[in-house]
Amino acid sequence: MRSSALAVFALLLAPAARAEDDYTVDVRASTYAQVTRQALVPGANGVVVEPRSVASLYGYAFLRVGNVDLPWAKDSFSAELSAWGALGALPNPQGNVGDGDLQSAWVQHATKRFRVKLGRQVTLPGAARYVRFDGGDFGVRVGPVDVEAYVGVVTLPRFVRPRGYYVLGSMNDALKDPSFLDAQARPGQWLLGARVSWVGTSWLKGSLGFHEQQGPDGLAYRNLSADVSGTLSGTFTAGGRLVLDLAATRPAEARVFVDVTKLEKVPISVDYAYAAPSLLLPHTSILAAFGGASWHELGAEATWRASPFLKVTGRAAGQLYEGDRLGARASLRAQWVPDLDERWTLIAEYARTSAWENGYNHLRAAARWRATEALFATVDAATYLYDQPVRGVSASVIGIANVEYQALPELKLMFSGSLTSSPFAVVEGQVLGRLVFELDAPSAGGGS
Amino acid sequence: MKLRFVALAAGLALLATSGACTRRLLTRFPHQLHLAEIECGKPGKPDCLTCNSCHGGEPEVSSWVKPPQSMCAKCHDQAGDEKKYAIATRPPEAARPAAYDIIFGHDKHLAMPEIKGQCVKCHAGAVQAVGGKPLFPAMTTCTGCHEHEEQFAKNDCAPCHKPNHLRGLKPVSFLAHDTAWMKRHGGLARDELAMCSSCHAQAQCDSCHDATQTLRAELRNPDAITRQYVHRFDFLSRHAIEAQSQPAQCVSCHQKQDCDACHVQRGVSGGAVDGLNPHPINWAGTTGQGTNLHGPAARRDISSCAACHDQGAASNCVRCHKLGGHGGNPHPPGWRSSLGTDSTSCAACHGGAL
Repeated sequence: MRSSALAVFALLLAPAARAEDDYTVDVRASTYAQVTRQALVPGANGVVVEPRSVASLYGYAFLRVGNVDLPWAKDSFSAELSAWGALGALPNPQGNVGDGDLQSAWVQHATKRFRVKLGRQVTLPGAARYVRFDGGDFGVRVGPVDVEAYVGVVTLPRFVRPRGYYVLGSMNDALKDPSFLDAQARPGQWLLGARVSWVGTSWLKGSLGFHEQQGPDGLAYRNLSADVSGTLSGTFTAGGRLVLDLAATRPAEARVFVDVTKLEKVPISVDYAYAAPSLLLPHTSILAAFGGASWHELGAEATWRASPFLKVTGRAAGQLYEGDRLGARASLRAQWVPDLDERWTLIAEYARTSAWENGYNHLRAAARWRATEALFATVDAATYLYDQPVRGVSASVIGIANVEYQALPELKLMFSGSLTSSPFAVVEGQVLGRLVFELDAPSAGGGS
Repeated sequence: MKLRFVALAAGLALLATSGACTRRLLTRFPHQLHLAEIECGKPGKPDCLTCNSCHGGEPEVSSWVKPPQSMCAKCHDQAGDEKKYAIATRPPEAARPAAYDIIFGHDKHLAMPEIKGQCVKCHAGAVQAVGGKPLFPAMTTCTGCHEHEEQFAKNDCAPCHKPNHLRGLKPVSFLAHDTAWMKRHGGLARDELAMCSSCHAQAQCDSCHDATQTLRAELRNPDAITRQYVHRFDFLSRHAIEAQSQPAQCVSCHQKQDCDACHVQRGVSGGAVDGLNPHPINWAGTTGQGTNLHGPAARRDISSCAACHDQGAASNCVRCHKLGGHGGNPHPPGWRSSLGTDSTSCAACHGGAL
């Protein structure tokens, strides 16, 4: 299996890929075939929408190589490439039926002291919390101090196409027409940032960061952020984060948490969060300047490991909004693996959310069964009961069933079907076929 | 036709049943019986066993050593008195997870004064264990030692873990991805990017956070029932409730146009031609108290307004709230900005006259 990977990469990495080089290679390719049929409820102004079917084909590719020796530094080279593409009923302004994007494409050279990463990558700055850009990230570590700086051009989806994309809902994604979106030029949408971190000890860490990002019409974000976290004698871990909007000279976001791990079977976490919604919008938005009320959330989460087989997790949080309005979120989830073989996994879940205009109760039951070493079956059922009807409907009901078969160590097949009844669709049926080729199973991780 | 269906169903049932009989426990050996319950050390009885009786024997043991079946046969001789305990074949075993394959010297550790040759210092409970997972010590057992604590602080995994194995490991005794993990993982990724990268690829972050993908993560992985997906099931119907519950959380991943793209098509956006006004009467009236509901609502969550009304300088808010307009000053008390008069957002209302 690994030798196949070596063959693929030998051409690219021949100078570095010596026999004694203990480098890593991950390859994953997955294909999804989706067929959806939906009967929508009456649309805007009472327009009745006819049932529609959509068939789409999606492909994902992922490639990663790491710990490659360079002649002057051991384990110093790594690279990643990932992309997706789609074919089918995917309307777009060009009238094509294809779509896709390049998600990551970077190379990195890192030694114990210096590192440089070039290409399409992501950074996790302040209020703009997940930004993809084409550029460079440079780092140097001197003793316990780590300094990092990055600069680049903000990545727009599909290279130069507008940002407005249709990602709400399920099959609705395939039915929208984004032709109303404004064209958007990429030049001028750049970002830069820097971060100084203290990483000298495992019991105390902290950093100070600056991030600036330009949007199509000027400044989008200019933030200063500070993080600190510490562990006390293995019993408490505490930390906090503050993001200051330098343009508005006000805090945009703050978080504090305390984890109590004294009781190994019942770890508890308490957290507080503050957010100013207007400052989480880019400053290119007129509405960011309109201001708005901040909100606060105080929450706690605990997991009770009742036995090696049963885990119960509960979370409760209360929100305080402007005008002393209150909100609440709570959930209770039990995960039971009844046998030593982990042949079954059973999940039961309840959740409650209350906001100021509406709320819901959520019930879920799910099971996964490993029938053989290669055959798996999963069922998942859920319902949402709304306090106030949404579009005149008081509940959503969803049922999903899957069968997965590992044909080869590198090849997995899955067939999935789901039925949904919701305020937006009287009935929505969906079948999905998935074919995954994975050269190195550990790369599955979070899936893609 | 019916017969074929029955045959197919019977075949599937047989396949499932036969599979159900295939167990793959890692620890099946009755340690307690052999170490504590067998009468030993007396005339006519076998020698008493210790851990080393079966698992030792190599000068540098890198990991768990499975005793050869010939060792069992020393006592379980099918021709001798112990015939009733004869073993025919070794039961099947599952492949050992990569987590248990570390670079480790048992001899060196057993010689340490803190351990004094006692296996149970690390493998506590091994005697009592019958069936189940092997008693591999938690990683905190290793990082409890100063040398390994330092390595851990420097994200230096290589002294113990093989690079090829890191990606398949799941932390259970430190950085356990359970309690509050979902809430916390963003900050940790920011602080510990190098550590995260030793196991995770950027593509794994993208699998959930890249909002441009048409097929969302939970739709691609409907079998991943243990994962916590934000948009699982019918998110469309409850998205307004979620946005109200945690204002502006959506902008963690979504651009403001993501909302408007859908709302325009649904005819509930300020940017939609002949769109249906979703607001109640008196939403933006001008005749006094109780006729202007939109102000308090906007103050409460301006990001919800932005979901439809954010068209830059063309936003309909500007029409009334621009300098000299009858909508008045929309800025909150204490509002200040360091942006210059030439900034696009300021100039939309102020016309450069700040």
